[in-house]
Amino acid sequence: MRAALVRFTMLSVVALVLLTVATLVLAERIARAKALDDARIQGMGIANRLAAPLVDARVRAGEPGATDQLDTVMANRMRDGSVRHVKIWDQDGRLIWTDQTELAGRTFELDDDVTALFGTRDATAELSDLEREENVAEQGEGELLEVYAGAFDADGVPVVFEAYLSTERMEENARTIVLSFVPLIVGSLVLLLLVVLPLAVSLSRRVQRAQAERADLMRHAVLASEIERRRIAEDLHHGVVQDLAGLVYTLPTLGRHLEPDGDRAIARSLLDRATELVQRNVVALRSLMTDIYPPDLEGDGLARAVEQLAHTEAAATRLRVEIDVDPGLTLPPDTAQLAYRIVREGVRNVVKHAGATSMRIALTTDGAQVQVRVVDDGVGPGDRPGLSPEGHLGLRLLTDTLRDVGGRLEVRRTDGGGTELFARFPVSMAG
Amino acid sequence: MVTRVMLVDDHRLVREVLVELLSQEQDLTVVGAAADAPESVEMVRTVLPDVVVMDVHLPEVDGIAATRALTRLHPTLKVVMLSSSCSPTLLKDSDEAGACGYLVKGDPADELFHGIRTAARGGRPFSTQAAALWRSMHDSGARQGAPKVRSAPSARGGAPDSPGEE
Repeated sequence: MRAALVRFTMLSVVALVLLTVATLVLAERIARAKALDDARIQGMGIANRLAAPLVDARVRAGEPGATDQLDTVMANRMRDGSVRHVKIWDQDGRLIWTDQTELAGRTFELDDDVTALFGTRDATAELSDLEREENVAEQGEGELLEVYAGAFDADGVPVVFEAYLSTERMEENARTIVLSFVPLIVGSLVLLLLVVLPLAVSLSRRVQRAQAERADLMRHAVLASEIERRRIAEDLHHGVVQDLAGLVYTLPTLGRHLEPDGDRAIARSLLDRATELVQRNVVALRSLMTDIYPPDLEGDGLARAVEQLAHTEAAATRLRVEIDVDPGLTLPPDTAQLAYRIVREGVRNVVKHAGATSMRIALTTDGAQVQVRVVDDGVGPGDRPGLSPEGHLGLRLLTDTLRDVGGRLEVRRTDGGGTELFARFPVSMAG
Repeated sequence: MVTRVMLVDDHRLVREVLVELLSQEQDLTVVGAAADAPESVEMVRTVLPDVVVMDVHLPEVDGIAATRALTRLHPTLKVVMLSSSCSPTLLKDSDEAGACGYLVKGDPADELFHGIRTAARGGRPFSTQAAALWRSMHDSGARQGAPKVRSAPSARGGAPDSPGEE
């Protein structure tokens, strides 16, 4: 049971870890998409509002001093470190302006997606791999956001503005997302686990209890069967075996009396005794057979079985038997078996110990509970330990079995001084 | 010489038919029949039998305890067990209690006569089944290297006499 609980908890923890990892990956992706959006908007803003209006024919021609104002404005913009580098391209792939002065005026081959931006105010952004020829200066600066934005200079000539932005903001965004979502997800999972775990514990306890009850029931059933077998062996030993041994010793005597000098009258009486002995043992063996192979209790079998049992057991002691069992009574197989067992135990106790002249057996049900009553007019339970549920092994076991199924067994003295065995248990037995 | 035999058995029928059966034999005379252990101890004192035929299963005090008491009180008395069961434990316990033999109820009547005569002569009567069991117990005990020599019949007075051997 503990293993099942540990397994449940481990699985919950694994689910928790997987969800957390998934959240982190998702947060990073969302942060990156948001950062690229932001970078595009920022790039377009710088291109259109700050950089492009300061590019004119003199700047494009590379005249000395023409870029002073552009130099100042860009330097200011780049001071906070959020914009690392800036390049302004013309349609021929020539660098009109860049903060990396050693590259100014050089021409590079532009990618198609960059060329497509000339004459538009569109922008593209990506996480730069910085492997292009023009990126010689940026390599070694780690990951950067690369933005290209189309713009028109002071003379209306199309230019492309290129900027490299720091990923710090993107990382900050990812952190914010993770910090706001992870506690929520982890928290709700932990909360769920806290709610479910006690339920799982109580469920597992119930399963464990049910298993223990079933084991008890099983143990008592095995014990009952063992006691029954011992009783059958004892009955055989004290009854049939002794009688047959007696017969073995009777027959040679009988044989001698059949000799010419024997006494025919003695032989006749011995033969009568031998016949009676054999008949008695056939009856005894038939009764034992019923014990070994219990009667069919399906349908109306229970009422018939109780009747047969009572009359067979009572025959030898000339007990008057009164039976009160509804002939139409049908019970589930296990319930019928238990009811029959109780009747049998009660009847045997009456026959063996009670010294009674009459016995009444009642087997009734109100739909939910079965009631079994075996009442005699004998000497009563008295002080003999054999008839108290504590003292009699068969009764003690029956008491335990009834307790297992949520019932009870009582042995009490009747008003008339006899004994009443009373049992009550649910029709639909637990376990 | 007539052998004085006393029977101990709690089954009335068995007692009665045994008395009748043994009375047919010229050299055996039944001097008493007891139904339980205390009665047997009391009866031996008064009837002075040569051989007691003792049932193992008796109510309250069993035949093995009764045998132990009888052989202690009367060291020359021969007690032969007569039971419907025969197991290694019963054989061993009977032997330790001082019984000189073990017969099984339901075996032919001749074996009973023979057993009582063997016991009276100081022999060790064992029914076929009991003798086979004894041999097997003794052999396996010897093989295990721990034979209880004192309890083995051979150590106390020769091998068990199987019925039919004179």
